[in-house]
Amino acid sequence: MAMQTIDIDLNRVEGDLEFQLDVEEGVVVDARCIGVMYRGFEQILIGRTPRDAVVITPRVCGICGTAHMYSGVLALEQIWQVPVPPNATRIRNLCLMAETIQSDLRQTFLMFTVDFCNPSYQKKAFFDEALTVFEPFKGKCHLEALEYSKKILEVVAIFGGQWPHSSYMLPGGVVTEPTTRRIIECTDLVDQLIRWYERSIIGCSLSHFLSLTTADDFFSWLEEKPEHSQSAIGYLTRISRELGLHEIGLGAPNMISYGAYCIPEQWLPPYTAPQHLVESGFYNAATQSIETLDHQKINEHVRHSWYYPYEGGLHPWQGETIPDYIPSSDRYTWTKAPRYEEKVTQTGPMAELLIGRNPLTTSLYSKENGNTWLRQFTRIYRVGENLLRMHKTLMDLAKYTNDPHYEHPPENSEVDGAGFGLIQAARGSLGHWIKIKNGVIEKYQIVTPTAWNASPKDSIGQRGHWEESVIGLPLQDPDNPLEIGHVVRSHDPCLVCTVHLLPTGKRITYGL
Amino acid sequence: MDYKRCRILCFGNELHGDDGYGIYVFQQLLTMSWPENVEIIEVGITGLNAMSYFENCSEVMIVDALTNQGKPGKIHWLDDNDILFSKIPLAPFEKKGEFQEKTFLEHHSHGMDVYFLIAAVKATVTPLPTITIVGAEITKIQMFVQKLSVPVMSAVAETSAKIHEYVTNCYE
Repeated sequence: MAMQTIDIDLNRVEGDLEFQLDVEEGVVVDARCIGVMYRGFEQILIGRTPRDAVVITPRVCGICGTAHMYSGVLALEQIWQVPVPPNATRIRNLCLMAETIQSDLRQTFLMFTVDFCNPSYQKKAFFDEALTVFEPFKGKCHLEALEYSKKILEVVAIFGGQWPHSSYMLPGGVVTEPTTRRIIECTDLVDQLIRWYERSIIGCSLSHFLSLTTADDFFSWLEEKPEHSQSAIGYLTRISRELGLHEIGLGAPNMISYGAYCIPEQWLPPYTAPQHLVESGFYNAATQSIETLDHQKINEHVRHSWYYPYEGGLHPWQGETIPDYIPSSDRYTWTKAPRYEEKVTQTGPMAELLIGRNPLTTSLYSKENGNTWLRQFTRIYRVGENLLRMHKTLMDLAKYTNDPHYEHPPENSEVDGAGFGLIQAARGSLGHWIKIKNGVIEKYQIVTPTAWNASPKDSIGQRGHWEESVIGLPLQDPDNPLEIGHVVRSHDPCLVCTVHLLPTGKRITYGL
Repeated sequence: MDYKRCRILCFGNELHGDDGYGIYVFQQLLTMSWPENVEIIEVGITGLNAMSYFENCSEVMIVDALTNQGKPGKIHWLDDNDILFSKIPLAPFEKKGEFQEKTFLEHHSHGMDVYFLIAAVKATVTPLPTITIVGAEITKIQMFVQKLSVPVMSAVAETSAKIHEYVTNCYE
């Protein structure tokens, strides 16, 4: 039986990933997700003063620096038991929501929907419509996403001075007070985004769209009016389903969410059970139930990673990130393999909404499982929810403009200890685990959303989520494997995607 | 446009050998004196996030490494159409691909790199500033090599002097 190996390079500004597939008779039989760049931030932080974490870790990523800063500061506040004024949490949430909306818009309209304009689909009935809406630098949504994803980031600039790689959170709060002028400027930006979302993305009022609670509601709404079916979410849904994306790319059935956005009035010492606006949890597919999240059940394996080997998995507080690069072995990536109760687990907007008990997501998941279309649909659906949350957060800030945005930590509070900061970044669950000893960082472990999704095989040979999501996938044309592009991009890698076939050395550019 | 403002954006990764060319030029430019309406900015490896730098100005100069342009160290002075619709690739994205006779969009539909940035700016920024690309042919990109090759290092001073001469004449 002839087998060929396809390498897909998934390069992006923040790091390099490749996806290597073994294909037999046109069907994917094995997959290896390869992180080709060593991150090294954990090692950089060892021996540094703990406050460096919230300045250095926002540089991990050019898309989700706010999320890293937020995780780092939560971990420090937990260790030092520092109280945080509600206004500080409101501002942190506001900026994280803006960053998430930016990522969701860019991933959807600058990355995922571009594939609908692939010349291979020229004979499909949807092709002309796809070009009108999604064609790069010409399609309506592509152009508008460029404009509005930039606009929403002005919220972070107003409170954080710059984006990306900002430094405005610190233990005890944030550096910028919520003046009336700042609140008005941000409200204007959010209102512009809401009007655009209603006009172009959903074709109806946001409140009406978010009131849809079942799959039947949604599909009826889709056909109810041309404004709905010809909205961006209408095109995305109809084209995705015509291509069968609601039937492929399921991957790992277990899901994790650390909970989105700390509740401002409740993010206070002792930080034993943080509450979130969107609930945290673990979706156990075997029992089909949402379980209480326990961070102690998280560990990371390095059996197939280029790190100094250890047995089984280690919790991040015990974790090691010592590079041990050995090419041409059965180790194949710089990414570790996080597991929850040793289970392969995926994360992202679909997991966030399902675990957060969003009724529409729950209904769609019950009907068709966690497929490629649903993963993408929930991402753009979440933009609407976050816009409303941003508006409410700004109204809350307006009520309490005279309240503090920072509380200086009590003297001698910066003690040794261990802590963690868990949040939902744009791509899913992000955690920072810190140990402080003798006043400096002894250990620092970052477990990113992409580590969950793009993990390699673990110590017992279980494939990572991405790897699993393409097993058994038939490829119409291995020289132009559009199916892989759809599945992989639904996980928000937003990566350059070039495909080449190793055996012949033939290299084919994939895309427009 | 009723005012003149020039921004010089220096791209590159100084940890990747010759890919750091733009950053070395940036450091040299900082040692020179400039007219008030000229800004010099190190943008590193950012792509789409540099869009704002194209707003409210009359000209943007992009300084970056180039490939497939001939002898290493040779300096080129191009406009945006040379980059978007010809065979000329900016260096960071040459490492994996084979650059054939295709347009920008045929090569780069998914990455938010410098190509993407220029195309996005042309599609959305009004009024559009003049975009000039100044670059030097490099030898190769080497991960985690913190120095330039000899010919590219030699091009840094000449590049900086040419930019300075041009900008000073236009904006002083």
